Amino acid sequence: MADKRWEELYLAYAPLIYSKCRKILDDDASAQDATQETFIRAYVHLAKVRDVKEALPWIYSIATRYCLQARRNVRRQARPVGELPEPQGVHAEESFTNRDFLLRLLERVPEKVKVVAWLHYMEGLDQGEVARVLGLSRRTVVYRLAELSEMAAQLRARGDT
Amino acid sequence: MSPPPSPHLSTLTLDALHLGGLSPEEERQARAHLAECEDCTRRLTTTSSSALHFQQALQQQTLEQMRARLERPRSHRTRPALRWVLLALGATALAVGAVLARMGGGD
Repeated sequence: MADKRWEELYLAYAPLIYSKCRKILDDDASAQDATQETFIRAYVHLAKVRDVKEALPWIYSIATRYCLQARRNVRRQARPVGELPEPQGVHAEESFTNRDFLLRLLERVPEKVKVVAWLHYMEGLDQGEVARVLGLSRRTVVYRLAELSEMAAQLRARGDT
Repeated sequence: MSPPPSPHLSTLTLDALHLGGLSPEEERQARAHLAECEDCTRRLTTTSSSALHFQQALQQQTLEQMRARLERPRSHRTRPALRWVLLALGATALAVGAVLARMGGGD
């Protein structure tokens, strides 16, 4: 039977996680599926949650990882739900000037680099926040962002900007 | 050299603000930023309206679907698309087996 704590977690965070998934996947149905998958995974690992009130970074991590995997397969257009489109990636342009270049780059990097880069450049989390969400050390976050920069330089050297 | 910090609020900060999960000082800073940043205000509005849409139209239905999945035995929790692939593979294996048996029986 579904755990009461899990339902508490779901009621507290599901609307926000749906909104987050929709921004990443750009599609309502995929966002609903991703929300469901996120909370099924959360159920399996529920013992890791000490306090539901502080579970946002943890549930964020699960949703982001799932959505980035799903992005590779989901290429459908979002069906509007009546609001303005999200100006996604407002943070990317400060560092990469070209958001499309960053998105192409992210398709080529390993998952462990991609999730760090997405949270930092697309969602604007600072290195400390990324470390907290993913349960990594700050040094690892810095190292993975450096890997991304190196791959960006290689891509640019090949004339892909 | 690392790039300068983004002038915008992070998604995590906006989401925590939406949930009422920032400390009073963090909330004051976030609201001061929002008062001057159209991009972040629009992002917060989109988050709120998308979350409201889920709450009103999808939250209960999604919860019931998940409850049903969680109450099924573990082996039946696979996603519907995956289940169809497995069924199709099983059917193909049976068909191949039947053809091979017929070929063998014809000798």
